[in-house]
Amino acid sequence: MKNNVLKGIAAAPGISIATAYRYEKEVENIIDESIDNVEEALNNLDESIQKSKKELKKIFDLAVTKMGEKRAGIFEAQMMILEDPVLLDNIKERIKKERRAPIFIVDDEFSKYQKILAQSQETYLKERGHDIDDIKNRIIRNLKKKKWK
Amino acid sequence: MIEKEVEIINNAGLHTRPAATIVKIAAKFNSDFFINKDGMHINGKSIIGVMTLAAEKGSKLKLTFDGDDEKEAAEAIVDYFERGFDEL
Repeated sequence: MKNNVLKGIAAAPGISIATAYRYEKEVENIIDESIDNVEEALNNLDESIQKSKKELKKIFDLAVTKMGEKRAGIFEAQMMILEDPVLLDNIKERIKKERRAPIFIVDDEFSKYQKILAQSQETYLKERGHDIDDIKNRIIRNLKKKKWK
Repeated sequence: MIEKEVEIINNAGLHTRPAATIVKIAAKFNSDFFINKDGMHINGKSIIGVMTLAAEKGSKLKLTFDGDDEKEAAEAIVDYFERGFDEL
């Protein structure tokens, strides 16, 4: 058995004995591929967005029960991003015009907004960039479960 | 086209919840709605766009409305800004 002492700030008083988990954010690998079948790519995008919506709805419902509607609002905003007409139209138009894989276009379009937020001096705006990162990665994970030529 | 200038008056600024509410109000109207701040030009019907605006208390935004129901859209949205996003 290996002992490992971690130092930090106590968020709550008391002693707790349990298995510790280490949180590591997965970085999604983005490959810029060209595609032949635009229609299939657009269908895959739609299905991935629908799947992401279902996943978020579950999280939102759980968050409302545990945290209340007001604090769960961040998940509602994430769900709204999945219906953002400006963002989705741009992504679809670019897939059609550039004939590149939806994963690449999704990553590129979201990253535009993330770059603006990352430049901000305000901590809360930098954190807002993480919210956008979460939703982007959810779509990308769901797109990766799809296969196309 | 209608142009309006509004000021952010609530303490927390234009954070995620009011951003979502603005987009929901704008979606009820046909008119195009844009927000301008310090050279940034954002479509007010895009939640990701509105979330990207760094609008603190005291910042001034220029709103433009264009369409058949621009008057009603302007009234509803300017009113929400003037109410301090119901956080006063």
